[in-house]
Amino acid sequence: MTLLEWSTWLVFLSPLFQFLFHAIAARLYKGKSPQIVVLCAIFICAFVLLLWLGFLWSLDPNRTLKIYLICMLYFLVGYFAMAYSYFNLFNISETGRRLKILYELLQEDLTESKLTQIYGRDEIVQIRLDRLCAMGQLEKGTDGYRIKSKFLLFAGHCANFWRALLGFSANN
Amino acid sequence: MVVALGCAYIQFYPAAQAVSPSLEMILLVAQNRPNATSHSKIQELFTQQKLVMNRVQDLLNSGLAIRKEDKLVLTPSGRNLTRFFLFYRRLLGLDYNGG
Repeated sequence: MTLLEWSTWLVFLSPLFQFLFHAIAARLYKGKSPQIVVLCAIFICAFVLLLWLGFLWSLDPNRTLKIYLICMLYFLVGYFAMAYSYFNLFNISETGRRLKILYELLQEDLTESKLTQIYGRDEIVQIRLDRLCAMGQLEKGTDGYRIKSKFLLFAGHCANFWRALLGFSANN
Repeated sequence: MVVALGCAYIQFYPAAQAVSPSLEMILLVAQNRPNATSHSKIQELFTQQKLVMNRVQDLLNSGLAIRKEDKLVLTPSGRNLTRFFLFYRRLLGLDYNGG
């Protein structure tokens, strides 16, 4: 197989590798922020697969640095596109409100008022504030919350821009 | 590569369709800088309708749940989808206490 074919296969199989690395990391770092654990697993997996590509490249007698760089770029674009999907899949299982509602309905059929007693506004807000603090995005002081990191703030501006481009209202 | 990029693009859609409460909180706290934002002010940003009932409506619209008399009931596809995510988390060694 050529290096480019290897890169394509690694991109194709990357969700499986991401899952395996994530399963190991999730067991090793149980008390840590799940989002940070999955991100670390994704980056470590990328590093290992890049090393593997480098190893294969070193075995090729006709190797050129240009070929390696092209294959590396191809792999990284495909890998992180897959990783973004994997991260979102995990995030749905971790933070998704629809999944939480489905989960509560799996336990028992509920009226809307009973559902909002179990899973209502106050709980949803508190869970998210705690999670944002655990992820290092917000910090809680005596007078309230402050921004600690600008990473999710940037993501928030991007999401608003994207919503405006697609013509969605802010009331969804 | 096309599949990878296509999947990533599809994942962008929910971010536009449903406002993420976490991102809304971050944006509100950022707007109030340099002052801190109180818990109650963050809570005022959301209503039960916006946080829960709109998502219930999504589930009804997509056929994952139905209304039976006055109760919400999962359809077989809703049941299978929920079980898939619970199974996925079990494989990761994680309990489900999300939301």
